[in-house]
Order: sequence, then structure tokens, then C-alpha cells
Amino acid sequence: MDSLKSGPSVQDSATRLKRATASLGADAIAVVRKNVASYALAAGLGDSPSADRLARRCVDEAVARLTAKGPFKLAVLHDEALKIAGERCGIVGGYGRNVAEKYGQPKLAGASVSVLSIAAGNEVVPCVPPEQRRSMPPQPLGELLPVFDVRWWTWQALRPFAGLATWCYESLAALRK
Amino acid sequence: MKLDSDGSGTSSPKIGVPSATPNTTAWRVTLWLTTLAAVAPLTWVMAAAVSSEARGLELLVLALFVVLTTWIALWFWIATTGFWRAWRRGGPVDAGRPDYGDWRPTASTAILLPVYNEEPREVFARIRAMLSSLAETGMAEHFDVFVLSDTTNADIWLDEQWHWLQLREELARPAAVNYRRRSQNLHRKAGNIQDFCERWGAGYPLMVVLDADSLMDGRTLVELVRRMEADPQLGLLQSPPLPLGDRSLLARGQQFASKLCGNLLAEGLDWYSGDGGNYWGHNAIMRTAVFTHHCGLSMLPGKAPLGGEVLSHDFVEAALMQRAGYKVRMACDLAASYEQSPTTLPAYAQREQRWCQGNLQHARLVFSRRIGWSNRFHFATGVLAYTTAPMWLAFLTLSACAWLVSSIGSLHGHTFRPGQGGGVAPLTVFAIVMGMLITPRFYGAMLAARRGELPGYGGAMRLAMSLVVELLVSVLMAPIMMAFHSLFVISTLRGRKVEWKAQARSDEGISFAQAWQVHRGQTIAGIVMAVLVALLLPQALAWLSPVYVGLILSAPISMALSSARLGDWLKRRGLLRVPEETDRPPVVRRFELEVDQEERGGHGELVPRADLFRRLLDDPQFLRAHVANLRATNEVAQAPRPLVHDMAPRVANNAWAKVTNDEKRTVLLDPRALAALQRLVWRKKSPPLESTLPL
Repeated sequence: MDSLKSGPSVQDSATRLKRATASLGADAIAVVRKNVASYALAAGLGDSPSADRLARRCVDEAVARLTAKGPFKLAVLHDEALKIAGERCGIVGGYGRNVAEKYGQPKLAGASVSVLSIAAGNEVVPCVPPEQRRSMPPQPLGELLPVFDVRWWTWQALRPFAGLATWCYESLAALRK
Repeated sequence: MKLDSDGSGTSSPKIGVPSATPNTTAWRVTLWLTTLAAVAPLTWVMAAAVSSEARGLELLVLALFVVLTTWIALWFWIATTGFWRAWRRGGPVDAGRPDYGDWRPTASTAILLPVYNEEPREVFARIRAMLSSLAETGMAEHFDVFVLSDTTNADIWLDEQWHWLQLREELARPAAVNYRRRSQNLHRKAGNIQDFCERWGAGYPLMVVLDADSLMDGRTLVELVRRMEADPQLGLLQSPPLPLGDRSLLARGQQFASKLCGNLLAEGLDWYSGDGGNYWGHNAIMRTAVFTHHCGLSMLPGKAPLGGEVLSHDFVEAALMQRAGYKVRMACDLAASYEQSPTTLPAYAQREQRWCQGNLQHARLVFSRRIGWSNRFHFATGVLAYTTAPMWLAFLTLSACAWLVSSIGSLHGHTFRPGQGGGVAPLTVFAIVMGMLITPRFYGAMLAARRGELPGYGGAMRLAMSLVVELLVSVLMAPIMMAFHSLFVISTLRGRKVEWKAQARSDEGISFAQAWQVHRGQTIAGIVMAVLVALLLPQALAWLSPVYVGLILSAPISMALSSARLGDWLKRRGLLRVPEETDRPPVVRRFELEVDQEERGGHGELVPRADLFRRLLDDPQFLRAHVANLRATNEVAQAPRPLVHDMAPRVANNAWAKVTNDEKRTVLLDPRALAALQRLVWRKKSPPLESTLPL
């Protein structure tokens, strides 16, 4: 990648990739690259050549990152390459342009710029406008009547019914006499 | 009428805001005096008919009679006032097609659509219909829609986003439709609106609050804005919505009754309320800053249900708005404002339970000195709308008891003073009360004739037959709703909630099993009542038959009322028809077209809801939009790693059905977890590779 001019050299990157290819297999890495390219296309990267270029760079960068940590398996490389592709395409972790700034890499020239500009061009329109905060304080409602707990089995609740039943009984008894 | 100029020097057209009722207090006093003048002679007649032997019981009955008759008489006179006002106004109720001249809204208005697990297809079809309608007015750029989601179902949440993304692709101005989903449903709908007010409300001087099933014509929306801008003291303007669009007999009955009588009742209520009108929670426009500063809801002291969160927030917000010195009015002359009503009787009852609980909370506010008299009236009517049901039940029960006591007394040879008029007087009273209940329907019919709407109802004869059908529906529903309301009032006062099992929704109606589950208590109560009356008071069997027969047959009645087939049958015969069916309003037609178009895939790819989570992980662009939404609305939350690791094998093995709603809902808030799951899905697309690393 052009970014490697300011950091590790292009030669180092190629060496690392050679070693990775040797240990993991060229075909396997090619499949990873193809998968990442499909991912980039699905992310709206426009055309196959751009997606291929991005995929190569993602795989290269993934190799660079993982080599620094030690030996790695193909699945780990695959995952890392997809992660980088996700970041580059602005899926997670910001848009391509922001990611490049975040990683301290200068703007890439030539084809790389077009890749980033496509990613940046896929900028999502915000789902809401910018916030303009203000508070909505609760308003007093004045003094309110207290709430009584109403249950069937309290004497207060039963008393009127008991009184009515008693009155009915006494009335009927009086009528029968 | 006052006409105002806006700041730019252009003047509003000569259609001003209807003036406030002059001498409001005098008219209110007149209304009450008229009501009491109607109740007094009826009470005297009833009092004269009591016997001496059951004085205590019958005094109780009389007291209940006074309250219930006052309630009926009050609404009769409000309807009469509304009828007179609407008759004087003349002409059809219409959004109107005024020539606005140079007038344009001075700022953008927010249209708020709070949704909670609604059907996204219909929600967005409504939005499309309203945007199209606004575009025809030439003022669409002054309106921004906000879909405020509190959806808890993860698949529906994704479906909402999917529909929103598709809609935005079609719009020339994507910012016309905004979407926000809250992960914490704080204070329900009121909290949802509050969240908007606190975060984005400052950018919108006016906001229109809708429900998920609301539909408003663009002209109505523009007119609401114009009236608000013309009167700086107007804080809230409510447009009376018309229920429209459903097939069941219950829905059609409500639609018909609302069309016939809704406007005149609204006119009467507006007349009575003056500038202290009410807010119904949707299809209304208000001043955002005033609402934000003055209408925040506090918790009611005490425990739920009478304490705690204010459930029916709309009435309280209207009271607070008026307390802040702003007018709350009803735009009775505006049409083209629609909503949907429950289609089945159980669904209707469930809604009534929520409203009952909310309204009973207001009972305490009736006595608050910090609430204006007009708003206290609204609170009181809300409370009475539900508490009259147990009062009716008590009235019937105590009347029967009093009759029983009198009958036993007569068997033993005691003499009574049956009072002047004997049995004829109560019959007269009954006839007068029934007359007060039925007369508003005739007012509605007369207004329809005056407005030239009879063809819309299918002609005078069909209107008359429809009146009979609607009356029959009301009579059938009355004892069932009395039982429901009584149960809801008593349960609420006891701090309980009546729980129903979730019903399998069907557009065609409900099954007997479903109806029996809901109405079995009422059926048993009806049988017990019939047996008791037959044994103890056989002479009352005929009088009480509408009640116990209605209860015994509540399950089949419920099935009949909820039946779409029966509704369609009546529709084919031109019964319960309303003008909006005969001549479909443009916005409603547009909505139906949008729903139809969506089903044919006219608005982009159709993805089954159950597949949307998989689609999210499969489609980087969908994920990007989803993550961007989370970040823009500050809804990012980290999912617990064990949960994500637990999900991973099921995601990897395409066992999507085994991923639970709670898991999806949690993971959908975490961009990193989603990205990791997406990588897992993509790694599985390359089978020759060994992808042993789960995450």
C-alpha cells in the first residue's frame, strides 16, 4: 500500500505476504481476497476492480497487523481482513476517510483515493437532524386527593354492604309480622 | 374575524380562525340550568312513584337516577347546541381549498408519529400518502416527519428501518422523514413525545402529533399550521378524527355513528369549552416551545393505578397548556382527519380498559385548584364516562331489590302509596330518557340532509335503515360494555388489571373460543341474573330482558360485531355507509394504493420480516445504516460478551429461528457485536476455508 511509504516499507509488506502465502497457501488467501472483495461490493463500493484493489489492501494490512502479534491461522486472517474492510467501507468505525485519518495514514494516491472516495461517497444521511437540547420540566398538578387502598375484605369496605343486608333482613322480618 | 399579517408583509387569506365562543361562562351556566330543568321534572315523577315501604332503597335508586339522568341530559343539550351551531354554519365540513395567495408557513412543522410494535407497512404507507398529499399543496418542504419508535420487537424494529430506508431512497429531500428508535420506553407515548421535544423540538415551532393509525390530508395539515400562525395565543388545535377503513360490523357502526354525530358533539363541546378545549392525544397541532416548557407531566402521588405515571396524558397536557395562558381549541370545521378504531369487541374492550384506568386517575385532578374549570369539566366527563357503568348496574340492581321488597309487602296485604301516575309515569320517564339518547342521531341525519351528504349515505331511506342498524348495534353492545366498564372500574380501584391472553389477530373476526374466553364471565352473570329475576321477580323479566339476554348472548354478539363478513354484507346492501366510502378521500385512496403497491414490490425489495436479522448481517449497507442510526440517536449500548458468544453458533449454523427476540434486541444496539456477527456470516460464505474461529 502507498501508506507503507511513511511506515514499514513496501518490501517488508511483500515479504510478510510471501511468508503468509507460504504457510497458509496461495489458493486459500485468494479465496479470502475474493470473499473480502464480495463484501466490499456488497457494501456499495461500486465496481469490481475497486473492490479487488480494496480487498488486496485489506488482506495486506491484515497480514501486517497479525504478523506483528505472532503466527496466525487462516480463519484469523479472514476475520481481520473483513474487519478492516468493514472499517474502510464505513460499516463500523466510521467512514473510509475518517479511518484513514484515525490510523495516521496519509491520503492514498491513485486508485486508493478512488476507493476511499467511493467509501466516503456512501456516507449515510443522518436519520435525525442534529440535536438542540432543551429540558421539559415536570409541572405541578396541585394538591390532590389521597388514594385509598380499596380491598374487598377490609371492614370499611364491607360495612355499608353489611348495613344494607341487615336493613333488608329487618324490613322483610317486619313485613312478615 | 381578525386577520393577521406575518412578518414578511404578506397577509393571510380571508379565512380566519373561528372566533371563541362569546360569553362562554353565561352559556355554560345556561347549559347547566337547562340540564337541571330537564332532570328536575323527571326526578319528581320518579320520586312520586316510590312506595313507602322501601323508602331507603328507593332513595338510593333516586339518587342514582338523578346522576345518570343528568349525565344523559347534559350530553343531549351539548348535542343540541352543537346541532344548532353546525346548522347555522351550514355547508359541508371540509378541509377546504382556499387560495393561500402568497402565504407560506414561516418555519418547518414536525409531524410526529409515535409507533409501538405497529405494522410498518401500513405506517409508512400512511406517511407516503400524507407526503403526496402535502406535495399537492406545494408546501411539503415545510413539513418534516419524525417516526418515533418505541418498538420492542426486534424484527418489527428492523422492518421499520427497512421501510424507512426504502422511503428515503425515493424522496428528493431525505430529511423529510426521520427515524428514531428508543431502547428505553420511558413514560410510554408521553415520554416518546417528550424525548422529541427535548432533543429536536427547538428546531420546530409547531408540531403535529399523530397516532400510528392516523391519516391527515395535506390541506388539513396546512390549514392547521395557518391557523396556528394566525393566532399567537392558540396553543393547541385539535382536529376531530373520523374512524375510517375497517370492515367489521363494530368498526362500521362506530364509523357511521362518528360521522353522523361526531361533528355535532364536537361543535357542542367546543362551544361549551371555549378556549379551554381538550386534546385527544393525536391529530392535533401545538406550539412546541409552549408544550415543552409548560406541559411536562409529573408523577401522581400514590401507587398505581390511581397514582404513578399519568396514563391519559392528553387531557392533562391540555389543562397545563391552558394554565400557561394559551388557548386550546377544536377545529370542528376541518375534515380529512382520520384514524382507525378497534375492529373486534375484545380489542375495543382492551382499549377501553386502558382509557378507563387513565381517566380514573383524573378524578383526583377534578378537585385540584391548579386546574382550570373547563379542564376539570373534561376530567369529570372522562371519569363519568366509565363510572356511570357501575352506577347503571347499581341502579338496576337496587331498583329490582326495591321492586322485590314492594312485591313482598303487597303479598302480605300491606297498602302502599304507589304515587301519582302509577306505572305509567316510569314508562314516560323511560321514553323521555331514551329520546334524549336517540335524538342526536336525528340531528346528525338532519345535518347530513342540509349539507347535501345524503347521497353519500346511500340516500334518505338507506340512512334511516342505517340508523336502525346502528341503534341495534348500540343496544346489543350496551349491557356488554356496562359489564366491562364496571369490571374495569372496580379492578382499577382495587389496583388490579384485567388480563387477557393475546388473541390471534384475524382480519375476519374472532372465533367462538376466543369470544368465550373473553365473555364467559358475562354469560354466567347473565344466566344467574335471569334465574334470580325469574324466581324472585318474574314481573320484571320483560323490563330487564335487554340486560340479561345481552349478557347471556355476549359471546355470539361479540362474534357478530367483530365479523368482517357481516360488515361486508351490510356494506353491499348500502347500510352503515358514510360519504367517505362512497367518495373516497384522496389521502385515503392514496394510502390504499401505497399498501397495494408495496405488496407488489413497488417500493423496492420485499424481505420477510423473519429474515430481516439475517439480512442485516448479510448486507453491509443495511448494517451501516443501522449503525449510523444508533450513533445519530445515541442509542449505542454494549451487548454482554457471553450473550454474543452464545448466539454465534446459531448464527453460524443459520439457526435464525432459535435466536430470541431479547437476544436480537440486545445485540442490535451494539455495533461491534453486529460487525463480529456479520464477519462470521461472511466467513461462512467461503466453505473451502476452515473457519473454526467462531468470533
